[in-house]
Amino acid sequence: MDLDKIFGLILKAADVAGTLVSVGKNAAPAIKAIADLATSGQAGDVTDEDLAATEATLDALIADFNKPMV
Amino acid sequence: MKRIILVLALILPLGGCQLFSKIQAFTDFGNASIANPVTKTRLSQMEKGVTLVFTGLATWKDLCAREQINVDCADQIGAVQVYTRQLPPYLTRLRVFVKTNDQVNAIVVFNTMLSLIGEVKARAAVSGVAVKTTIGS
Repeated sequence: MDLDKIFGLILKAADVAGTLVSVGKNAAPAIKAIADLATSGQAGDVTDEDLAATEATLDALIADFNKPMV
Repeated sequence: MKRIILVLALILPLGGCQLFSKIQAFTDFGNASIANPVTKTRLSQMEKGVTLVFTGLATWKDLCAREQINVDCADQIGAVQVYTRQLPPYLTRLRVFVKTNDQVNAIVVFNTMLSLIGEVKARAAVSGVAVKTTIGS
């Protein structure tokens, strides 16, 4: 991905994070995604450690959303 | 410095009423193929994009639980969960296939996941939730 595209993604992700903050939600996952996107423009190949960190965040989000509504 | 100011400028004007119109992470994965394999980098980009999607979905669910949005939101979320509950096993398999460079299976699973995510987006859109997830190139 080229840097312009990554920067575009970061701005849109910031939009998401800002919205979460404005309604009092935890924006940490979105902010982490922003940081990941920012660094992915500089890094070369993704390491297994990078993947593991992303996977843990995503797995937790999916598991939480998939819980039944109470 | 200019970039930091720009990001803050985007964040500050946001209000709660704009919630779903602002939950948009623009990306575009594109289908996988032998000519366009699922590398670790591509897997990582996809997972980051889906992280943003689920961050938005979690907010939708939370507002619904707090009865701050339409009363039929629980049913709408249930309809979306039919698809999101299918994702974890595919995700597990995709990670293994990518890490072992089993591209034949990785491509099949990657494209299946894209279809599922497409269904999630479509169902959410029917409920008035804009979750734009065109992720990638």
